[in-house]
Amino acid sequence: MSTPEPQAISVSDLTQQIKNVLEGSFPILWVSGEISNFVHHGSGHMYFTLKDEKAEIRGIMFKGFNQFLHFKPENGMQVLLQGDITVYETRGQYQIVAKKMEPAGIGTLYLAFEALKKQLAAEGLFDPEVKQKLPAYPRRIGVITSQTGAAVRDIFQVLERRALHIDVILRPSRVQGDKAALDLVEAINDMAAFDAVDVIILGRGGGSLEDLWPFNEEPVARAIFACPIPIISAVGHETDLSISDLVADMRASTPSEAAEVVSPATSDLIEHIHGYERNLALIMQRYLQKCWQGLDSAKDRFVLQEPGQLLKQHRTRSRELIHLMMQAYRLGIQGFSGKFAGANEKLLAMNPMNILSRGYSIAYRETDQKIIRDPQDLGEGDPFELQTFKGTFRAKRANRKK
Amino acid sequence: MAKKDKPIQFEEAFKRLEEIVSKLESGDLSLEESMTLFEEGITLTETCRSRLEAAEQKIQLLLKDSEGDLSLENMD
Repeated sequence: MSTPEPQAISVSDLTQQIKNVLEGSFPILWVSGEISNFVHHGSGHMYFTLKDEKAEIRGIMFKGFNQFLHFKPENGMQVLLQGDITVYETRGQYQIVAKKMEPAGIGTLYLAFEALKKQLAAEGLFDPEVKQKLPAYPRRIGVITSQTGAAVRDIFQVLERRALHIDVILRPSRVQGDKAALDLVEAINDMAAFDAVDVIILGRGGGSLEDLWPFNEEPVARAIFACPIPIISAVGHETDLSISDLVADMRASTPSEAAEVVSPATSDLIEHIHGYERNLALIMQRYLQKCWQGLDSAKDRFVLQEPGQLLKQHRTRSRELIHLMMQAYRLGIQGFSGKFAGANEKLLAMNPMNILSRGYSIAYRETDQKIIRDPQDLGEGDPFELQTFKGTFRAKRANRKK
Repeated sequence: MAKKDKPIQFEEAFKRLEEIVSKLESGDLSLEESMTLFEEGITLTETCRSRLEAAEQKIQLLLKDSEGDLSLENMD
């Protein structure tokens, strides 16, 4: 009697099924363990075993990924790695194909960084819309950093070179170690409460990831976000990105750069002011010229010799006044221009056009065009010219009544 | 709490200057008004410039006493 041969599948099929189940059921994951059997193959790929007290798993890190490692993996080293579970059919082995690897410790920090970044981003703390604008012309800059570090020296140097008109308030704070985060939070709150600066530079010089860590802590991020004074964050070197950088109103790659960015150079500002001054003087000059032209055209219209002379005098006087006025401003004499304006207003009122339009006339002796101010100026029956608002006509003095 | 003492805002001074220049440029002001604005403008430029030129950077420390009161102390 023979038992019927059971239905069988091939090893390949089984392995394929195992592969399907296994590779589909693990999302991207981080694994921690100790490295052993490490080989950096001539092909550039890395082969190793990751293990703990009770288990082990084969690991591979291909050349395309391991070339970005910041450290050299070694046997006995505790690491954190991220990768996919795959099945290597030929050997019937499952393994982890690593994409990222960090030494434990730093790896843990890295995970915490990523988690906090994700959380704060979701809450909107990094949104461009919530960032405050940096003041264009700060008068006082607040600095939060270590009083003895390289950062404070760099910042002071830049500000002294560029912008002596800007004052600085330093709130010293620890910038590394366990207590640094709390100190930074207190410093930010103190600066906000004292409310004496227009912008705050928060930062420190370069260091290891652990050194820079306080700037990746949540309370610091929250204090930066809550601070009503704009904050520019400058932590470490160009390549270091911190949570502080992300939540601050602006990020500078170094403390020196932060100082440059927030401080408009004194010389630029003075040039800017010169520009305004030139503009003001030009506008007033043009304005007053318009007034003079008014007087000139009045003169031309009336061919009046004597009033013409009068206008000429007024114009000269007016020029003198403007000259004096500019001098007075240079000397900082206040209230002068008010008097000048009054004087000039009177000049304008004396425009003969205005006088004639009010119904006055001017009489001229025909012989010499002298203005007649006295009956004695003209003999009986003598002709004269009468200038009215709309025109001139000849007339004759009547004979005296008997 | 110590007093706030925010110094004159250059940003505001500059904004006001811009405003004055464009008002004067519009040209439809009386002589009196023009002169008043002109005077204000020149005064503003003088104030800003003299502050800039006479500036000596002051560096101070923000300190907190045991009571939690904040104060400034000059730094050498």
